[in-house]
Amino acid sequence: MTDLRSSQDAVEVWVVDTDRLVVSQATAEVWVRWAPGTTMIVSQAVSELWLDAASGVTRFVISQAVAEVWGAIPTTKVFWLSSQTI
Amino acid sequence: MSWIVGDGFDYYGLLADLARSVWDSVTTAGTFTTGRFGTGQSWSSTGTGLQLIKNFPANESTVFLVFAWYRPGALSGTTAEAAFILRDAGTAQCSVVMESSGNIVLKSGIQTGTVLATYTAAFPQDVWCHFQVKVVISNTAGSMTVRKNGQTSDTYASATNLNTRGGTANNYANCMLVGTFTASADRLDDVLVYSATAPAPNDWVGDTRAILLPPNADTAQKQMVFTPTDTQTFGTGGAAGAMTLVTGTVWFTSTNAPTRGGSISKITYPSLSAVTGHFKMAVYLNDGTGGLPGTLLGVSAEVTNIPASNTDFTFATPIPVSPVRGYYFAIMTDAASISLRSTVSIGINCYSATGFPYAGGFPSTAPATPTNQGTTGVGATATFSGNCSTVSELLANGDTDYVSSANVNDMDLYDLESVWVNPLTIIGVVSKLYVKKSDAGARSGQLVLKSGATTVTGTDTVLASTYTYLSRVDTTDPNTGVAWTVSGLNALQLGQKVTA
Repeated sequence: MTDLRSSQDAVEVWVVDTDRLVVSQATAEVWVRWAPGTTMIVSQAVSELWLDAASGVTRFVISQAVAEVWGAIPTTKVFWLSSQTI
Repeated sequence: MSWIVGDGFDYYGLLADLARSVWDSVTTAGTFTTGRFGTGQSWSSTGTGLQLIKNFPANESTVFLVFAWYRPGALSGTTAEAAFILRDAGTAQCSVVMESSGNIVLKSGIQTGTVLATYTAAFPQDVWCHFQVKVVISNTAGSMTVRKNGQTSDTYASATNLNTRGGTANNYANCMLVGTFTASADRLDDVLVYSATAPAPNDWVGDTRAILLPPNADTAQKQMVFTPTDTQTFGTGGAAGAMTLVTGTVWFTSTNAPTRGGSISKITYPSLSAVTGHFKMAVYLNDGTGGLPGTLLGVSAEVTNIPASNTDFTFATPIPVSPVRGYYFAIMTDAASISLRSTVSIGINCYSATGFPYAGGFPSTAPATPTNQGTTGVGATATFSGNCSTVSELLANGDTDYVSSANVNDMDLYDLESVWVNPLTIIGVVSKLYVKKSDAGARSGQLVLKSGATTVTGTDTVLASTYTYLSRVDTTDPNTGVAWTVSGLNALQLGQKVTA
């Protein structure tokens, strides 16, 4: 008999993440780590937010209510980010 | 329909699968490498002539190209490294070119055509950037507008009187070619293309990405047969370890992830010595801060006294797990202080938390700050099963494992992993099956999607002898007719049916 064989089922969901981090124009640099399982994001000048090249994780999507400042804070402002401020 | 193509590249096991999925034609497939978010896959150029081609369902005068882009290495020169070429049939109208300079350039015709507009310094080296590019095709009112990294206003806007109709006499495109023209190892991820024609998405959508929801549990609709096994395990392994259990303490493993989805029926603890007391084990999701134990998923039946051999901690309600999440096993006891030695590694980065008396049970949410982190933890193995375990691997594995049936109307439906991000917008759902027929005879089948009380199907398809993806796009929930919600997605079931 000829069977139907299915080897992989999956749903691909296209989303825009919530809890977007908006950094003020005055912010020079912020390093943030958040859960789960991801490592850090780095933001640089003005409204641009950048990925950390070495870790390769997202720039500004935060999935937890409270994110942690992680690592060295080299410049003037540090944000403790919560769901109320992002 | 506005939706033209979407591909997150995450589920492919083979480069050849690109041509068997959402693209109409593929030439020289390139390679897959780490994706934008550090998980999944992106598509990377390995040389010239790499092409993904998609034919549009209709002629479109305005096209949105949405994608994530990573350009490794120092930027220099003006080489056209990659391009989205919009065509009228086989003739190029205009191209959105990713240059080695870091510029995004709109050109007439193909990637070497006349420059129409330049978005300078669009991307730096070694950084993922997300772009939404809107192209209007017209001989008098053509334009390119770009929004970078989810910005809600235009990051770049060209003049609006360009001639972007560089190939034919028609103010539209009906085909797109994504091509790479150098071996610069550029990466492309989460490509979504749609037009300005209703229904949505047909305007700016934001910083999009595709996430994968694999099956994680069978349902009552289960008629197909698994090959070769429906049972898998995951957990720690390696050299033996030991720990001292103290009452009032929850001991966690390091995090573990299964390679497939399924339902945990038991956790086996391989003890080197007999110990006296009452014990329970539990499974936690790694959704705590920094990936630590977070949500309690289930607690085992109690075990009284552990022998110097394997002990099964069984779960009356099986716990669904999937390969896109991580899990911790945990153990508690009422014994005052005992040494529990495992025949398998207890791992590293294990955790413990005090202040939880055995009688009170496992906390529903693990403490955000564990009392201790170290190498003392639980070495154990979880057993999970289900037909779903054969169809839920992250990267398609063909005949390695599968479900099958030759009986017309046989159908499986599976529960899916819950949405593991917090979406602001759910743009669409693309359901996929990787299917084939097993022999020379004819066989047909289709994708089945169940949302709430509504069941919809994909195209009834005469199957080929090689694995091919069947897919279905739903930009709204078929059960409600409006935009998807997280709860709607979390109740979704997917499967396949033999139709002839």
